[in-house]
Amino acid sequence: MDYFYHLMIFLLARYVHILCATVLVGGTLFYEMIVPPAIDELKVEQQLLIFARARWLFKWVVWLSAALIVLSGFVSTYAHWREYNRDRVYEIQVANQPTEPMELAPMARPGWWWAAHASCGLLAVVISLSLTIGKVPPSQPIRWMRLNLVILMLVMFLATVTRQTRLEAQSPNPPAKTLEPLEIGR
Amino acid sequence: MPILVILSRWIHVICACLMIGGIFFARFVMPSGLGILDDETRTKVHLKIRRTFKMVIHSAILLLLITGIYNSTLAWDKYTLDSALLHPLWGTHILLALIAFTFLLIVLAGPVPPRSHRKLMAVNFVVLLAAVAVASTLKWARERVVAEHAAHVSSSEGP
Repeated sequence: MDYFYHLMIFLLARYVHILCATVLVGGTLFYEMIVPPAIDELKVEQQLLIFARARWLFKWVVWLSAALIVLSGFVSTYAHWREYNRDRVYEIQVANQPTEPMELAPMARPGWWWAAHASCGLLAVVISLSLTIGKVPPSQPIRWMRLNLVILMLVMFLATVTRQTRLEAQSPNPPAKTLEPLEIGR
Repeated sequence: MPILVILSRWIHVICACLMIGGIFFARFVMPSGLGILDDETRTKVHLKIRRTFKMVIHSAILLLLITGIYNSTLAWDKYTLDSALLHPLWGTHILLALIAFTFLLIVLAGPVPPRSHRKLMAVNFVVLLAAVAVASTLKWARERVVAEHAAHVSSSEGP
């Protein structure tokens, strides 16, 4: 039963993490690339009012997403911590014979990619929060949002590489196309 | 490092983010922002937003289909390892994604949206969330099956 609860928590954390990233990235893109050209013919006061109202509502979404993304990130990190630490050596079992420990190339160490993902992710979260703190947005908010969008895309790229390196480090001799289905009682 | 695999997955995730986050913003956040405008101006702004959003969504659908097919081709041999578990998950993900694409194409077709566009967008948002949940579970199950298979092969090749 413990295994089931752990499984549910890790799966849920992963789902929530993706969902919050989705809302942050998609919302930021919509707010800074789709809305401004659509309202450019309106009076400046009307434009500011629309931005202010959308910002007020988006603020709660950003704050909730930021909290959940950090929390679910911690849970997912905990779930994969052993694999992220496998940055110096690992052992391959070939025919039940442990081979010599091998050192992973720097680019193949999932821990480093994870650190880059986590630090860039935190930076993006901090920028998102700072853009929604207070009653008035900071100066040049659209530029900041554009920068944040680029950082968010970079964060997602780093997440993809982290996953790839983690899988490759787990399985140094990955099963090739000759895989046969398991014949254990499923 | 297989750069094409990483790129394909990255583009797939980004397109999904743009689609789901954009729908969320367009359906739940933006109407409140446009509430201060009179009916005529609001309709005009809404149509302009819709036109730009349509370009984003159509590009995202195309890229999701291309990268999705590529990703599935890469992982197909892994799906055969435990087809009873993985095929239903993969099939459900594809089915939900195709339903969502159809809804989006209907809502964004033509110069003006259909009458039920608000309801359709809300339903579509839920369908997309379900598609992400299934994809997330599929990825976890695939990794687990491959790890089990590797352990099984390793133990059966013993001296």
